[in-house]
Amino acid sequence: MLTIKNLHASINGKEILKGINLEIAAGEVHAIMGPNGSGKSTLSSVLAGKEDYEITQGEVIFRGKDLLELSPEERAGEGIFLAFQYPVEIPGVSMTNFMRTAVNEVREYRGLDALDAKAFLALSKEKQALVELDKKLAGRSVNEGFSGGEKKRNEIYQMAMLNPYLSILDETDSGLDIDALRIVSEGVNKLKSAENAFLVITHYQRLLDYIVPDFVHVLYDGRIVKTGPKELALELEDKGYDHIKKEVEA
Amino acid sequence: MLTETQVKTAGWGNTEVQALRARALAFFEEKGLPEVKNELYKYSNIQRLFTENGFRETELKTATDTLSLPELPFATSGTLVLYNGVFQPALSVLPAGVEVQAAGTILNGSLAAQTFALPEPDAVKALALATASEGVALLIGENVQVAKPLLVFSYTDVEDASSLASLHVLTAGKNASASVLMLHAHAAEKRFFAQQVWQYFTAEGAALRVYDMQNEGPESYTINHFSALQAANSTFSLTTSSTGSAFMRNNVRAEHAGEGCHTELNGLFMPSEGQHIDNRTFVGHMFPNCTSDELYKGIAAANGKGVFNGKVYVARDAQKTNAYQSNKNVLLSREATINSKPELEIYADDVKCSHGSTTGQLDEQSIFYMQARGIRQAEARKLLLLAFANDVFERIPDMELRAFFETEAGQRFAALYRSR
Amino acid sequence: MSDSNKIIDQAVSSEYKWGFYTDLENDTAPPGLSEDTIRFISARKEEPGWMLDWRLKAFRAWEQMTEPDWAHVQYPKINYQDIIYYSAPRKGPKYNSLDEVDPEILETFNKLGISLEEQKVLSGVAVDAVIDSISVKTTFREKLSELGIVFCSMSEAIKEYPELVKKYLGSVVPVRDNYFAALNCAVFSDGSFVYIPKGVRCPMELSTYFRINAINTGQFERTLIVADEGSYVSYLEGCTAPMRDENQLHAAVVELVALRDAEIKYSTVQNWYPGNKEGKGGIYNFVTKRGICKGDNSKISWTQVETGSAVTWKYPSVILKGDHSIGEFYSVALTNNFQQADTGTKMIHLGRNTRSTIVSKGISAGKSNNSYRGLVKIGREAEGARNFSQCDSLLIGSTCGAHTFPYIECDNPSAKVEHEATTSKIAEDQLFYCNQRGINTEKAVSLIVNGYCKEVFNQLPMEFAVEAQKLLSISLEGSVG
Repeated sequence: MLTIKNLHASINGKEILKGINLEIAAGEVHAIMGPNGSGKSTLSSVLAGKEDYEITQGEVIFRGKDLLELSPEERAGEGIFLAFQYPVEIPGVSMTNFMRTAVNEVREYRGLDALDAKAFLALSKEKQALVELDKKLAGRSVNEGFSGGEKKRNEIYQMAMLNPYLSILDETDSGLDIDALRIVSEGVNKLKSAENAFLVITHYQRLLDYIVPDFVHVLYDGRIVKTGPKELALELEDKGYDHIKKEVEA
Repeated sequence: MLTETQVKTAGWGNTEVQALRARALAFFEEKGLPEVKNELYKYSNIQRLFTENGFRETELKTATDTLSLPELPFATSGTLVLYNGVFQPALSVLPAGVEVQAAGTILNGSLAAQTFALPEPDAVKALALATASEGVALLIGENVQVAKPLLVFSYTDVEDASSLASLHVLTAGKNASASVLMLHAHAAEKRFFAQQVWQYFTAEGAALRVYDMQNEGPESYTINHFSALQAANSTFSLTTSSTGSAFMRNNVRAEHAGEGCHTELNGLFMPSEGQHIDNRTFVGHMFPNCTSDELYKGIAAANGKGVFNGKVYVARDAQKTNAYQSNKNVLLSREATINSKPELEIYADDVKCSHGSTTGQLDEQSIFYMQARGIRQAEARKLLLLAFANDVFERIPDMELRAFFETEAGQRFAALYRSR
Repeated sequence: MSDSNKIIDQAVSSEYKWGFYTDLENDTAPPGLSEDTIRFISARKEEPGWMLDWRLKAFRAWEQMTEPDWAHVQYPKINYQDIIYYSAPRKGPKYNSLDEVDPEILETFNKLGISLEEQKVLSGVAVDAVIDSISVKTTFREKLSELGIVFCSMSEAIKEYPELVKKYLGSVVPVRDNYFAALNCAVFSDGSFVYIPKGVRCPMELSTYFRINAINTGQFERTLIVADEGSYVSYLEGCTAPMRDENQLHAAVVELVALRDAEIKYSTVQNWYPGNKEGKGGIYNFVTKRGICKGDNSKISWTQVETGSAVTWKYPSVILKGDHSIGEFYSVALTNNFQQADTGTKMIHLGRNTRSTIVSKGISAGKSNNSYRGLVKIGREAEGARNFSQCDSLLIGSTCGAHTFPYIECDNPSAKVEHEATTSKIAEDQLFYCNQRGINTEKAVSLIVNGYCKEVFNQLPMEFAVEAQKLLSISLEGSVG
């Protein structure tokens, strides 16, 4: 589904990603772990197409297409979804209006008819239930006045609405209490299928108890330095990142 | 009122300057003193000021040897004395790295053009430029760091109802750093109309801080023209504490001539019985990546009238500008007036600009709270005023200077409640 | 919500959507302005002598006045002798039903999507439709007259309610108030008159639609709304104009009078022809709108959404004379291409414990200039007065300008006046968030700008809010590079 080859990216002339290689197939869950500043969030931003980053080398193929050639909204249309670490507030724009615009834009991109109001609301209701999102949030402005947990659940709700092939969860566990973590994870697990894939970016192993990865990659200094089964996450938790650092630097 | 003799007899051997002064005079003669419908002087009736006081040109004394200088509770780096706008070398002591010349000697080419420019159709400034006597050029050398403030002491000693003007230039060399404290005094019971033009040039990387304590007696009718032109990465800050004078108008202008500049304008103005204090500021963001921060606080007591009119201008190419302007006022009496006109004029999109203006009274609940703790009402009010004014003084990095300004303001507040 | 999406979907063409021209046979005055022109207008309208005298007095005052130049706008000098000051549809008589109305006029309204029938049947809105200068049709008159509400054209009011007109016309905006108002007093063609009797709550939104239609016809509307003690009325004004190459002058005057405990809500959506992308043509909109809260506890609220006109000069104001009276001003002004707007409000606090709120949202795009200019004046006797102003400007692109010129004059120590203003552009992270959800940048800008204006749209009646959002999206088209 996704092939990343020797990806280099920099911001303001400073290289952050220094040659990422990664292969994700449909039906898989990949976790990327790494210490602060290792480039985890840069990777998710680059995949989603944030303009701040300059791609200096490498390629990213997503479902047969050169992802780096596409605008952020085209990537969304192709089926890339980024659950933001810090979801953005948009004052005055209601969640419903926002989501309906997004759903119909993505549907149009995929050659599907727009959903009418009734069909949209039915779908929305179903997906809200998935993450136990309060109905009244739909009338509020996008992410404005949402608690930390509500914001993250809102991201998963949007993921469910847009039905992506690849979902990137950027530190979705940060700032979540145990209940919210469970709700978010259950939502994700329900969305898992043989057709889609997940890239879970996290600092802690905790989230991976709920969303069980097929592969765990350790990102350090802009490179994937170690790849292993889900047990690698436990090992990291146990020994800490310093251990990996020493290993790499050795 | 004012004649060409004053223009001609004001020194200035520099013919380039003479031409510019003639141009300013022509401008003034064409426009005349501004009416109140002129937006620049909307809240200050200059015409009435002249007709009511009959200011006129008089023979000015240009030298003194008996002037007593103010005693300050802290050390200065030096003293520059101006007597009726004229430099008094015998009474002045300058710090190392700072020299004085006659203003005309350095005002050539673009420096002259800039100093005598009229970016806005301000006939009052034109009048000041045309009639000003030749003042000093204070030159702070490259990399010179003047740690303690340099005192500029202006003494006005004229016949009643005299009008006078002087023009001075201050240049801060590359990476120089200095602060200037301006103090004023005048002979008793002689009304005068004084205009001082101060043109500042800050070279690349220079930092200049100017503090003007405007606490003269009710004989003073003053208009100041402070203009700064800032080269890249320079800092200019001006702090005015206006508590004196019957009439005070500060025309402040800071303009950026390169990237990375910072401008800070701070003012406390406190018009009380019979006083009119008007501040007009202009910050011109002409280059990208510059910042400005402006704070003016007004306290209007008795029948005092206070004005703040500040404009932030951001030119088309001045992207990444960060400009902030705030004006806060309190009215202490039913007869007092505050007029506030903060303005933003913005032609670049990637900017962060905001302004705020509030006008109200002292918080009665806080006063009651203090009274309930045994503080007398007058004392409580004084404390609240000091707290209000402190936002301005807290921006003075030099602790001794800060204390000096605070003490002065505190005395004014105390006097305010004593006289009631 | 569903409407917003429809609106955005419909936003396909950035050309002025409503630029068409209805060919009505016109009864027009020759171009030019003199006492004779005024006599002609007054005679055509079969006005009483006192009205003619009033007009002539205004004309003589106007001749002595000069055109104001303080606003942050520039336009070629207007030749007041080139303008046609009177033009009326020839089919003069009134109609009892819609069937009798000129089918061409009905078609015009249909194109605007505001057909009288639809309005009448669906929304229960009474419509006093004005094409050019004469009121063509008034609906729901009977229903309103049962309540004693007068809702008619100004011409009719002059004949049928002379005492009310004499008492209030020019009482809020005096003849000599300003250059354009004086001109309007002299040559006003027609407009609406509303009187709400004591204690009556007007059961429906009253609305007029204005159109500028005939070639070179200045439009000089005159509206007067009087809300007697304890009454309430909400009035909607909406305008679109056909495409024209020559500039057209519009100098309307609106006066509102709220007596004790009365409330007037006045909403405007203004979308006159703004000129083309090169800045050619477009309406000059020099309007004087002012209300007086004459009695205690009265309230006047202005809401405006301004997206049209080449040049706008407009300051809907409130004189807060009655104690505890309330003034409100909610504004969205959007300028694109070469449009210029200098708009804002004046809140004049005279009474005790008077309150005013100003919320202004300016959006500049293209090569346009958008200025907020507002006065808050607290009079010596306005004990306990309060004002809060929030003026936000949004710049789209780096070739436009956004300016804020507030004037705050405070003469009372117990007053509290707060003004805040910000200028910024749309945040990159908001755009990226929308993009990541599949929304392209142009639509994202439209969404975000509509959200930014929501506080103002919330003040509009529902159907007007929809119209306003639609206008905003259309007006923004082509502004994102």
